[in-house]
Amino acid sequence: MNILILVSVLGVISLFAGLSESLRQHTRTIIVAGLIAITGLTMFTWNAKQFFPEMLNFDKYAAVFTTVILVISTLIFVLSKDQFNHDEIHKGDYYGIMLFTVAGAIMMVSFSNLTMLFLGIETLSVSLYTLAGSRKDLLKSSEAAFKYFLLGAFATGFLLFGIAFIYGATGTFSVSGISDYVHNTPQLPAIFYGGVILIMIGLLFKVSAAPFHFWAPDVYEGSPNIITSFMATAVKVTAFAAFYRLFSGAFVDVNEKWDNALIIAIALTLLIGNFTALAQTGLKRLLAYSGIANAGYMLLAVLALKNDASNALLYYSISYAAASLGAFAVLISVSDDEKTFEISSLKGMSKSNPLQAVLFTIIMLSMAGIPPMAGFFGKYMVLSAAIKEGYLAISLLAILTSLVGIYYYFKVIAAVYSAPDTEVQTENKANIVVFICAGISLVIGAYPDLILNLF
Amino acid sequence: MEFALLFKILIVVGVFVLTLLVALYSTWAERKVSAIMQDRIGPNRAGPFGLLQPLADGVKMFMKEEIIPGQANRALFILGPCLAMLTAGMTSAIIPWGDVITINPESVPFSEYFTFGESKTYIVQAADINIGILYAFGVVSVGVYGIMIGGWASNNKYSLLGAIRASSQMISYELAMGLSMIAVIMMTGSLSVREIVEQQDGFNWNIWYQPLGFIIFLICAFAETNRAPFDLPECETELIGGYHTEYSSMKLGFFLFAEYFNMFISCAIIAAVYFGGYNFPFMHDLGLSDNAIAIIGIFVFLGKVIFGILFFMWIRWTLPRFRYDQLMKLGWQILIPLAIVNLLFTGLGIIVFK
Amino acid sequence: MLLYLFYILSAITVGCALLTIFSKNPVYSVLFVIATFFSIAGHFILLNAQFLAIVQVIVYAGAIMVLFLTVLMYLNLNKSVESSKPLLIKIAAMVSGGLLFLVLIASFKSGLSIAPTSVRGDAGLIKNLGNTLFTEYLFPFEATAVLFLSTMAGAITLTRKK
Repeated sequence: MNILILVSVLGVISLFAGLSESLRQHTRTIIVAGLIAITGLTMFTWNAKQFFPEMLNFDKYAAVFTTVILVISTLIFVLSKDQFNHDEIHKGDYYGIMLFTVAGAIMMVSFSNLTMLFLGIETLSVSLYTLAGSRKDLLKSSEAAFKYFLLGAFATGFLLFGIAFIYGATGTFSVSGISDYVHNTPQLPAIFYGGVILIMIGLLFKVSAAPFHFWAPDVYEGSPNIITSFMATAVKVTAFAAFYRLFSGAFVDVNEKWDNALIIAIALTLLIGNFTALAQTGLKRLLAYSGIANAGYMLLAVLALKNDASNALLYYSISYAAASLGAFAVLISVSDDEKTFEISSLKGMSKSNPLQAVLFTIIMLSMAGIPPMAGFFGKYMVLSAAIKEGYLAISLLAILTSLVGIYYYFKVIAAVYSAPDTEVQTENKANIVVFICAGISLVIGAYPDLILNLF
Repeated sequence: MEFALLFKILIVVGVFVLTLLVALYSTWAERKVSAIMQDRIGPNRAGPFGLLQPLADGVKMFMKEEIIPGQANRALFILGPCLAMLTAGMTSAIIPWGDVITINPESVPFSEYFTFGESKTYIVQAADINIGILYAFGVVSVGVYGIMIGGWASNNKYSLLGAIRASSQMISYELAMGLSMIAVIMMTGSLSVREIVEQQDGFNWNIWYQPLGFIIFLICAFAETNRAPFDLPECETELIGGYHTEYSSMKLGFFLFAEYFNMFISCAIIAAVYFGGYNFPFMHDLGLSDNAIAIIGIFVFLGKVIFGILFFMWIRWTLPRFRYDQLMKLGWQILIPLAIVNLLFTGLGIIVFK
Repeated sequence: MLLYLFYILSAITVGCALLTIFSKNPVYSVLFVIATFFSIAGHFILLNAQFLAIVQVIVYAGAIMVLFLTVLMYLNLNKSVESSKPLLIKIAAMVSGGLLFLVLIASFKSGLSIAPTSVRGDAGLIKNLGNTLFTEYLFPFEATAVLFLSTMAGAITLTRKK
C-alpha cells in the first residue's frame, strides 16, 4: 500500500516536472532514483502494518512480484533515454503515465478483492493504450493504440462479466470469501463456473495467450520500442502474477473444472506462438510471437497451481523478463521506431559491435532455453511442476514446441554472426541494461537458489 | 387515500398549467422588457397591454404551414422538438412550490380507537424524491438530445453546427454546475430539494453561505438554457437560426417554448436552492397559521421565480454574445476551477464551523 | 405488478440493445444505446437503487453518449461504408459467438434459482451507498483516482497539438 502510494506520487511528480523546461531534463533521473528507493523499501518493509488488508494484501507473493516489476520498470526507465525526444513537451506526461501503469501493476499483484483486481487491470491497460499511441506522428503507433484499446476494452468486458457472475453466485468480491464459498458449498451453481471461464478469457487476453493473442503482434509492432519492451516484460509478468494469484486464491478447489479449458489454451498458445514465429522476418514481430509462446510456458505454472507453482512462475518470469528486456534493449540500440527492423539487418553485429553481439547471444540462448542460462531452468521448473500434477500430454507438447523455438532463436543468432554486407567499423559498447539482463540470465541460471529461496 | 391522490393530481395539473402559463407569458414579458430597455412600446394591440399577444402567437404558430425538408430524417426531425419539450417539462416535478398544507388541523380523536376527520398533511410538490436535485440534473443533461437530434436530422450544416455547439456547451457547463451544486449539497447533507428548502427557514438562505457557488450556478444556468449571452447554438448572425433553421410551424414553436420552459425551471431551482424557496423573512413572526404561511409561501416562491426570469431577460438585452472560444474558456478554465475552489472552501467551512 | 414492469423493461432493454447492433446508421445506434441506458436506469429503480439509476442517466445517457453523438455528427457517417468480411471469418464469429451464448444460457438456466445472498433491499439508496463506499470500499474508491489521473493525462497528451 505504501509502495502503491509512493509510485503514484512519483507519477504525479513526473507530471508536474514536465511543466518546466529545466526540470524536464532531469525527470528521468529523478524517477530512476525514486524507483530504486521504492524497490529498496519494498524489500525491507513488505511485512509492515497493512491498512486495507481486505483490499490489498501485501503478502510475500505480492512483495516479491512488486520487487520484480519495480526492477524491470527501473531498467526500462534507464533504457528510455532519448526515447521520448520526438515529443519533448509531453515527456513528463509519458513518464508519469508509465509510473501509473506500474501503480496498476502493483494493485494487480497484491489484490485481495476482485474490485482491486479490476481497478488494477484498468489502470494498467488504460495507461498502456495511451503509451502505445505515444508516437502521434506515426500512423502505425496510432493504429496499435486503437487496436489495443478496442480489443482490450472487449476483454475487460469479459472480465467484468465474469466478476459479476462470481458475485452473483457468491455474494462477495473478496478472494478469501470466494474461496470459503467454494469450500463450504457442496454443489456450486453453474453460474459460478461461467464466471470462472469468463474471467479466464479476460485474463488470457491480457497475457496474450491464444486464441486471444491476435492483438499482440500488431500492437507490439506498432508501439514505440520502449513501450513494447515495457509491455513484453513488466506487463506480462504482472498479468501472470495476477492470473496466478486469483486462480490459486479463489478457484484452486475447482481446478478440475477449468483446467481442460486452460490446457486447450496452452496447447494453442504453444503451437501458434512457436510456429508463427518461424515465419517472421521482423525482429519485433518475432519477439512478439516469442512472447506469446512464452505465455504458454508460464500458463503451465498456472495450470499446476494446486501444488504451489509460484516459485516456478517467479523464476520463469524473471528469466523471461530479463531475456526479453535484453533483446529489446539491443533492438532499441540498433533501430528506431519508424521502420520495421528486419532480422537480416542484424547482420554483421559480431563485427561492428562484438560486445553487444556476445551479450545478445547470451540473452537469445536464455530465451531458447539452452542450459546453463536461466531460460532452461525456468522451463524445467515449470514443466516439472506440471508433470508433478499429472499434466503429461501438455508438458510433452511444451517440450516439443520449445525445440521449434530453438530454431528461430538461432536464426537471430546466426544473423548476428554472419558476415556484414559492407565494411564496418568496430566499436565495443552496449547499454548497461543489456549488461544487466545478460548478467541476470547467467547468474540466476548458475545459481537458481538465489530466486528460489525468496519464497 | 382518495383525497391524497386527488391532491396529487391537482398539484400535477396545477404545476403543468402554471408552467405553461408562465412560459407563455415569458414570451410576452420578454418582448415588453426588451421594448422598455430599448425605449419602445412593445406589443400593445392584442388585448390590454398586448396581454393576448402570446395567444395570438400560438394561433399563428399552429396555423403556419408545416414543412419537413426533403432530405431530412423524418422520424428524428419530429422527435427533436418533442424531446426538447418533454425534457423541459419533466423537471418541474421535483420543485417544492410550497410548504406543507394541513387539512383538518383541529381534528380531535373521537375516542381512543376512532378518529373523526383525521388530520392530514399534504406537500405542495409533485414528487418529493430523495434524490430530487440529481433528478433535475439528469433531466437537464438529457435535455440536449432534443436540440442535437433536431439539428442533425435537419440535414443542414447550420443546424448541425448549432447542434454541435449546443452539445459541447451543455457538457462543458454541466460540470461547473454540478460542482457548484455539490457545495450546497455538502452544506445541507441532503439531495432532496424539499429538505434543502426547509433548511433555509426564514431568512437563512443559502445565498449568504454560497455567494460564489450561486454566481457559478447562475452563469451555468444561462448556458444550459441557451440564453444570451450564451445563445450560440441559435446565434443568428453566424448560423441563421442555428439548430432550428429548418423548423417551422409548431415544431419551431416547441423549440422556442422549451427555452422559456427551461428558463422558468432554472429560475425555480435557483430560487429553491439559493433563495430559500417558499421561505420569506419574519415568516414566523406574523402570527399567522401554518396554512396561511404556506399559501403566502407559494406566492413568495412564484415572486422569486418571476424576479429571476426578469433578471434573465435583463441580462439578455444587456450583454453581447460570447465568442465560441471565449465560451469554452470561461467554462473550462474559469468556472470549473472556481467551482472546485468553492467546494474546497465549503468543505473547510463545514469542518471549522460545525 | 413489479414483475410485469421488469419484463417490459427487459424487453425494451434487449430490444434496444439488438437494434443498436442492427442499425445501419451509427446515429440510430447511438440513440438506441441511449434508450438502452434509460431502461437499465429503470431496472435500477426497480431494485430500489435510485442513486445508481440517476447516475446512469446523468453520466452515461447525459454525458458520454452526448459526446459520442457529437463525434458521430462531426464524422457524418451517413453512408455506411461497411467492408464485407470473408465468409470464413463470418462463420467463425458466428460459431464462437453462438458457443458463448450457449454457455451463458446453460449457466443461467441452473443459476436462476439461486437466492440472493445477504443483500439489503435498501443498499442502493444514497445514504447506504455512501456509507459503503467511504468505509468498506474506501481504498478502491481512492485508487480510482490513479486510474482517472492516468486517463486524463493520456487523453491530453494524445490530443494536444504540438
